[in-house]
Amino acid sequence: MSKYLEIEYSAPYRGIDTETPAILLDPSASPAMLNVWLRNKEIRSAPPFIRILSGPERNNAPLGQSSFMDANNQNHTCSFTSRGLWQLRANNGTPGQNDWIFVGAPFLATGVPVSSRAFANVLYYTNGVPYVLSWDGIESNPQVVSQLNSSTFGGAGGSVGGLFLYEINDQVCILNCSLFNVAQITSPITGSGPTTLLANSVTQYPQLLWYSANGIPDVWDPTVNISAGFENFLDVPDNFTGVMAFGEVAYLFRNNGITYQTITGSTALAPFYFDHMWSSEYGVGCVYPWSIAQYGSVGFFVSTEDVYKIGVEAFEAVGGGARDAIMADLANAIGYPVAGVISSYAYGYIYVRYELCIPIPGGTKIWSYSLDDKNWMPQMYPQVQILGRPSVCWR
Amino acid sequence: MAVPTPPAPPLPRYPPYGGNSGGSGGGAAGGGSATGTGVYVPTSNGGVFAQSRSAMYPVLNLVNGNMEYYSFNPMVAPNDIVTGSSYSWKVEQVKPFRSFTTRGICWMFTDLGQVTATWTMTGVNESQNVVSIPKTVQVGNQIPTGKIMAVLISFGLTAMNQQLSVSRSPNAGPLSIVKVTLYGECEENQLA
Repeated sequence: MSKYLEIEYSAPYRGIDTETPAILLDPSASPAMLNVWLRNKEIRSAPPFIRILSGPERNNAPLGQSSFMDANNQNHTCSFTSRGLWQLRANNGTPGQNDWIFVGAPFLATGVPVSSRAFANVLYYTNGVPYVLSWDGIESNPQVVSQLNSSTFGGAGGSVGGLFLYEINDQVCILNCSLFNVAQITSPITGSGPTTLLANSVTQYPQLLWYSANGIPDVWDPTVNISAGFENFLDVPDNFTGVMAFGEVAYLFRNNGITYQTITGSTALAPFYFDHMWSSEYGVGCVYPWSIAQYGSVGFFVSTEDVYKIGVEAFEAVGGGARDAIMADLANAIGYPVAGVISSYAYGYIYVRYELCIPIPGGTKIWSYSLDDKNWMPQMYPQVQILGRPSVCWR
Repeated sequence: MAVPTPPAPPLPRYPPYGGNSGGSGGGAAGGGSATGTGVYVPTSNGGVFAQSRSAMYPVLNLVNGNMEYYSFNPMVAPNDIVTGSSYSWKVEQVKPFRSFTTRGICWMFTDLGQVTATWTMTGVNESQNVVSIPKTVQVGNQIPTGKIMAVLISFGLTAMNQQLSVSRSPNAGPLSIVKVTLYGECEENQLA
């Protein structure tokens, strides 16, 4: 004796869930999927992932890209290599040409994604080199803006840079800093690092935050303007690994913790408050520096045990049933994972997703999390290794 | 009586000077220009027309070793020629330790163009062997209509714990699944 049955599978789709036994899954979840998108309540094969532009240099890795608008309302799309700054040609995409034109040095670090931000129509960027650079889209060359000319910092020619750059309170800030001094000095950074800084040396301060003067992003020397300065975090056990800035507050990420930064309202000696949300030896922090990605009031980062969504109103683990699979790919990574929040994949094609790109043997695995549908979908691309953060840029 | 001199026009914020023109290729040194009032206005150093936006991925091409920029192109049919696609649904028990027969499925899809997909029903029998029936079908029109269409695919698999999956090979066309309905019969006998 048998009975007729129908089983229906339809949206909303919950994405991949590799943790729940497949027989116990919700019908809207999938135990295995690859290279499909779950946009607009439909399963579709992923769009073609194709070459659209040459790299600035054929054999030198691009370290990121960013668009900004200059003071003339002109848009520029910039790329970075270890040679320096490049910008996209207006007639980009023409076969047989380099789509990028070299704007200028100084050199950037090799193999380190660039942290950049436009502030008052000027692009600021750095990537672990001991200086912060800027380009306004008008001048012929980028400029070093983080010079430290006082004798405290070794006299003319000194400068400071960092791995992560952001803006809060009209001040450009850098985290995980590098200090270059020309003359030998007694270290101005007390509590960490060597006591004596030899002439022409670069010293790393992975727990240091340095900020420019208020509203003057090319003054970084606190002996020149007292609203510039630095904060050495001696009370945390780890290094800074990234940052998210949300207007008047910022989350400063460490390997095992997060520090909350707010503004005091004073532009003088103490412009910021800092509150370690936790400074335990082990805890939720960002362990993959370039897994942090932000879109407006929402951001994402990867900790040792989950992927987290963070914002002004939320702090939640979002790995869900995909967490173990993501962590397994991270454990197999052959390079640093990079991430971005993509709001639109083409002009008018909206699909807001956090994309975590993990280089693994045989290509790159992209784990995408839809902010609308709250589901994960994996994609595998054997033909490429993604080297820098994905981002939406003008062409 | 002398004709009064008209007041100087306001400084133009936008073209006709060089900025916002998109440039002729970028990278040229900003030369600046003189307006009718003799005020120097620096021009932008290159730039883009900003008529389109792309999600840009800096990549190392593992095939030719070049550094390039990649992007998804969602404005064409989702038919990647390099990578295939696959999707599996949950395992259906229906009733514990009872086999059921999947007569077939009804696949509803958006007609994005011709696509070849392989649908597979997989299950296990009481002897703990895996049994599987794949069916490769081609659907869709050469000129996509964008309409929602449906097709029946017959299987005739009798097994326990059955699971439906679909796969599409690289360059096999744009796959769309709006809804899938699995139909068949289930044993009603009591256990023991």
